[in-house]
Amino acid sequence: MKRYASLLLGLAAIGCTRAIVATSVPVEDDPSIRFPEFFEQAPLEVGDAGPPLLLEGVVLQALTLAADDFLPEGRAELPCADRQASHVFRVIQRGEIIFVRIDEDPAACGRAHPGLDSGARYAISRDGRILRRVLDGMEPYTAPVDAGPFEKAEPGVSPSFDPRRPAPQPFLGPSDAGTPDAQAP
Amino acid sequence: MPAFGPFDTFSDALQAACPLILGKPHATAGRSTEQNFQLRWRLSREYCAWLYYTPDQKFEMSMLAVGPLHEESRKRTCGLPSTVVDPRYAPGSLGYVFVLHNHPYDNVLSDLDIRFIVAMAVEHGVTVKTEGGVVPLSIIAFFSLSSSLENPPCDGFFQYIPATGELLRWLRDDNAWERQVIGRVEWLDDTRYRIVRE
Repeated sequence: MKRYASLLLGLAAIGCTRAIVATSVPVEDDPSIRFPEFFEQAPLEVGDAGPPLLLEGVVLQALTLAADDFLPEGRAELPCADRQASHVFRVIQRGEIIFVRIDEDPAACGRAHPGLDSGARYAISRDGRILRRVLDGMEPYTAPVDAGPFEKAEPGVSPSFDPRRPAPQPFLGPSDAGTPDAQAP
Repeated sequence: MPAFGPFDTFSDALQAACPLILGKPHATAGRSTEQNFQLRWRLSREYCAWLYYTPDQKFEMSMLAVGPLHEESRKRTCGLPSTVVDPRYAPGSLGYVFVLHNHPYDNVLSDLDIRFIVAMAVEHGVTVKTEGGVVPLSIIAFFSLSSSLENPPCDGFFQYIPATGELLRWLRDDNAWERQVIGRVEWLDDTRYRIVRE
């Protein structure tokens, strides 16, 4: 059960563990490794209330490896958005691989939204090897064998959008049932 | 943005914005297997802007924002303000249509691209009314397949449209454009979603 749990951790949890691994480690690139969906389930979060979270040492090692690789510290005058403490970390364990997703915490730097493409995903083995690293904006497109057809169209036009039939938008909250929500300049 | 448009249609504005953004210094890095890719990637930068609709019924582009240049950082990011300030128009009178940015090569949209445009849909609305009809808000990542350092051609872009959930890949073939549905984002509630690739 615990290997399928997703943990959202503040860096305070690992900030004092940097001595576990060196800051520069080889990065393998095994494209056969598929990353799980990091945002499909609500994460367990370390907070003021609630039970303690138990973290295996190998999970902590994976977090530290990913954090040190993506956000190396030690540079002078590190900008807020490049500090490990300005990020949140999601962890999913599947079999022998620990998957880590790193995202900016914009509130830590006084901003409302994170920057585009400002995160990264890591796949790390339990023996401490980075098996795959995908930086946001760097994931190459690979066409599936049964890719859909191309069709000519004016650039930017949706193939299915119909304002007369608005689809429900769950990201707008539970009350949304497909009500048109058009900006009207 | 000075010397950009304005345009009567968003398609025309997109076709003008793509080479303009990809032509900015170090906006592309070429194919990852090429010999000088690592150097080009270290120098690469991400640019971003809003394409917006004005009360004059035109499509315009905001000033470009650009991510910081830190060769030792692994981030290639761009911080885009959620609103445009155009002194010619009253605050709140603009329609937000596309978030535009570049990727170094033929790279798909990231989770943060998806989450950012959905945050903008919550803030501004999922669609915008224009003279030509209702347009769904979306995010776009331009790319070039060329290894050219100067004026890399606009070869295509990725697009996510929150109103439909569609993930699209566009390619330019001569002067015609072709699109392909490559996936769909399925939102489960206001924070959770999954990406289904096709």
